[in-house]
Amino acid sequence: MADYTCLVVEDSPMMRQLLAFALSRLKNLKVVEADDGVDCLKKLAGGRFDIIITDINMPIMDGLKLIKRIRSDAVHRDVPIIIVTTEGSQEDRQRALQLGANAYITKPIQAPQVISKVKELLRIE
Amino acid sequence: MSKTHGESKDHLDLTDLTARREEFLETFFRKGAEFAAELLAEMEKIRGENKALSDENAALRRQLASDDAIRDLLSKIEVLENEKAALFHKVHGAKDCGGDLVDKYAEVEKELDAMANLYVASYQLHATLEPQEVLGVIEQLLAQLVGTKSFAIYLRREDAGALFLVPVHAYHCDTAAGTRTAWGEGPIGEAAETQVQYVADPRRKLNGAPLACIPMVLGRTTVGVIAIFELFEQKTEFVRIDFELFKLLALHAASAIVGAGLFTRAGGVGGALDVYRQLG
Repeated sequence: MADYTCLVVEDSPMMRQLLAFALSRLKNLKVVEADDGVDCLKKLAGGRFDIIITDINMPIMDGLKLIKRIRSDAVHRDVPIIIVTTEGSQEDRQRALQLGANAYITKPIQAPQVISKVKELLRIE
Repeated sequence: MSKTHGESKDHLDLTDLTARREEFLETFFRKGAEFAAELLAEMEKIRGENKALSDENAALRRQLASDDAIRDLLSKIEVLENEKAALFHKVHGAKDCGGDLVDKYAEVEKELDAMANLYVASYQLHATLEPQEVLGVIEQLLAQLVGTKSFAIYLRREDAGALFLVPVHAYHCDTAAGTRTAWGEGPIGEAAETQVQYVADPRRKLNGAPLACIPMVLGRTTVGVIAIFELFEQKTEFVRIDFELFKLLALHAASAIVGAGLFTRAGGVGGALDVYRQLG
């Protein structure tokens, strides 16, 4: 049984697959996928997650609205959130961090960078 | 009278003799005492010298023992120094080996990353036979995996006996809208004709010209060209995996596009499988 569970929120199946593939290198981490912000909230309501990785540009509910919702939620407000996005400007980065994101990674992603950030936030050796 | 004189003379001689004897004896005993004293002093001196020699001898023996101990210590130090040098050598060897392993690990990580990218790209390209979805996958692949901000997909079309390239899908790209490119003209037309990809340095100002043109080739036929016009601001250069993805796109995007077109024209799975009926 995995020690940690990570929720990957991405509308692109390609990115979901790539992130899941990268995170599968962490043996004690289970990955659950969500298509967008609303799907993420549904999955959060049904379980406990140790970390969330989310895109910003998504249909229905984007990543920034999602962070606001999670940070105001009594149960999940302390869950670390990593943003993975194509938006590379400083303003976007600062906005996401001000809203409560713990880390900001721009696409195209490199698996070691994502793994390292997840390990750092989960304090895995 | 002469007898008296003789007796008196004898008496004087006897007295003199006695005095001489007394004097002799006194001198004899005094000299004996002096000699004895000298002997005692000499003996004392010899005893002192003997003691000094004994002390010196003992000191020399101690010195010799101490020199032996020092020699032992020096030989032990030499052995320890040799052991230390051997250990240092081993530690340096282990460090070098560790450094090599870290480098190799990073290399393997990179390779694994590249393989994952290629696997996912190939998997997604062939996961659908719907033309719009195929174009969507190419769009996702260029945006998410390469970091392309604007691009256009051109496909070949023959009009009045001449070949052209017509944009069928554009992503944040006004340059391509409504334009068609003559076969063999400009970077896009040349890439289609020569089937050789063209990649410019992204840091150069290109005034609307494409940064990269990737011909999509099926067999020996050019199906179309993917033209990349702009990258995301965080993407400053093309890296090795990008060129691998371009190679994959050149072949797999062409087959996915043609396959989806044929599938749609055949009216789905049933029509597409009719072709195989003739083979059986």
